[in-house]
Amino acid sequence: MLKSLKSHKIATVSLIAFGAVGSLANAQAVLSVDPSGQSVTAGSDFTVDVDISNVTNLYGYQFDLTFNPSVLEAVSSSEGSFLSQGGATFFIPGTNDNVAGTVFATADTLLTAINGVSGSGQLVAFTFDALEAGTSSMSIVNETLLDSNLNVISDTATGGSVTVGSGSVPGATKAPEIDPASAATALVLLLAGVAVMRGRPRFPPI
Amino acid sequence: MFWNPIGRYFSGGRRGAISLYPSIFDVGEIIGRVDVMRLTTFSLRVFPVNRRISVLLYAVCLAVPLDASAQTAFCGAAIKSTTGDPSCSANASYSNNGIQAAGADTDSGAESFSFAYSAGYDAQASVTPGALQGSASAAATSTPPDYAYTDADGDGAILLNPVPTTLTSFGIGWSAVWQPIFLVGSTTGALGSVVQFTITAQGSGSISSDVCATGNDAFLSGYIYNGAAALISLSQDLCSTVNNTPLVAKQTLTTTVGSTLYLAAGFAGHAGALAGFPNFDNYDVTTFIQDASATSSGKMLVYIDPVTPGATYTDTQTGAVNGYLTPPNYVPVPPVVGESQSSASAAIVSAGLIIGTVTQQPSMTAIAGQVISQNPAATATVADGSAVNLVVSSGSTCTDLQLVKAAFGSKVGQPAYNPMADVNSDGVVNIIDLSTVAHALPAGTVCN
Repeated sequence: MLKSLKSHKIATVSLIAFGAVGSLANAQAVLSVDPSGQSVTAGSDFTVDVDISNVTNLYGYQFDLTFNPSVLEAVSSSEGSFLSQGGATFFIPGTNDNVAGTVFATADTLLTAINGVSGSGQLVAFTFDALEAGTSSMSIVNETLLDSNLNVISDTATGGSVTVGSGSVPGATKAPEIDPASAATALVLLLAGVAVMRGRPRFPPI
Repeated sequence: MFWNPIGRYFSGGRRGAISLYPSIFDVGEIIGRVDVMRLTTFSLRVFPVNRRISVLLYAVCLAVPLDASAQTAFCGAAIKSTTGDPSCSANASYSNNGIQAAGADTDSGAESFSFAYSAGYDAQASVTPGALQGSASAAATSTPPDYAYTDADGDGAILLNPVPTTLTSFGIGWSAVWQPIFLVGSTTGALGSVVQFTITAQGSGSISSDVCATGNDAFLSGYIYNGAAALISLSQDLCSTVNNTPLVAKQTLTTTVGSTLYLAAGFAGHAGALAGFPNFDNYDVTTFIQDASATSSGKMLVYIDPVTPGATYTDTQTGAVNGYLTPPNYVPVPPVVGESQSSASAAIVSAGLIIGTVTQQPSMTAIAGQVISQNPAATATVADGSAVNLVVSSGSTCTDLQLVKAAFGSKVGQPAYNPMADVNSDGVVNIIDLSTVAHALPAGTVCN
């Protein structure tokens, strides 16, 4: 009975293990805009990351990031932390085309004949200016991922969007942020006030 | 008087005289008797002859072992025109210097030999004056080469194929006539080259049917030998051979460059018409030299030296100098391009070859230490022990990477496009090019 149970456990573990391997083997790398949605105020700068998940042996990548140039303006881009885990890298920030609305040909590659990086993480951080109120979708296009054998890694890409509110209503689309400490203080003062009001002697009519 | 530069036996072409049959043995050696004469002034007065008698005499000549003292008597008898030739009043005799119909030359005509090579071939043979003279002094004038050939087409070799077919009526005579066979040799100069040749009776006359019909034999015989042992024996009854078919099976001989190969062979024919010519099929003879020094011993000494006559050759395998070089084994060169230098070296050595020069060369695509090219190429077959030269990548550089960066994202036709940056030449400079160059950087490289 004990033996049977043990075997059962082993089988279960094995199935889980094989399932995990199979899942990894079939997993497709995913490029995504992070956050997928955010609201910003016109006139402010903000950042958008392009992340990757479920990638195996990533050696180099390239993609374009598109946006609405009437709402946003691309300012800069910087290398994320993911690929450099594998060793020295060579990063190309891409070309900002604020007319067409594209950060063109952002790329990064490891150097020398080494293995790629597996897992998930940040590839690039983009900085934008919010020009005026409106909405801009953000899409990752023309992406190419290479492994350390310089073979293409299949992938899918998911985009995001940015909503720019007018300058007079900053953070309009955001839920108001409450400082817990301040709220507590206000509540105490309110209750104290109520108490004072309730304990105040009533004056007889004159 | 005619003197055969090849052997001491020869046919005499003399007006009103007879042609003589040569023997093929010398003391202790196999001796070729080659006569290259054509009896242009031959008179029909030698005919008719008693062919049966001539056959008999010929057979005796072959059968009797000779020594130096017996040669004269034997061959004198062998060439004796016993009947039917009123112009030949006495047995022919000869001196060591050549054929002389001593005391028997009743006519006053001059002897002559000639070749009738046609134009259009490389092998425009000419007989150097004195080459066929029959005196010791004349022999001195026939120092090599007795036969001079011209490389008419300038391909560096003398082409003896096709053999002139206009060589007609060659060897007409009552007795046997020896026809020289040219030694085969290498055209490439490669040591130990294996060559093949065939010998074919060729020409309009070939062996006249009446010759064979009378029961005479006419055959090719001889040897290619190295001075000690026959390498190839040639023997074929021409009477049983259809014209223009190989008289002997295709022969294969590994040349021994730098050493001496003797060729002793010829046609032996009888009265009537023996027209033919040894045809070395598809073969260029680089050098054909008849060594006059050999004539004193009655040998036809022919040697081929495809490289440099008189040079010294050393067998790289045995160290033998001017010996019989060991034919090398030929092995295919393994493909090593794309391999690491260590893997390539192992493959080359495993194939029986050696590593030649190794040259470092930058490469935008091949990682450091990877073989970029090899020489000889993988398709070649070379002698074992040959060297294979390698060009090995020293990898790419950060400058290469910057080059790609400067053109990154561009396509053919755009100003920024740089074909050097498009390392895979697909018309666009992209991450494949960038990572390819990055991958080829030497280990430890950091580029900013």
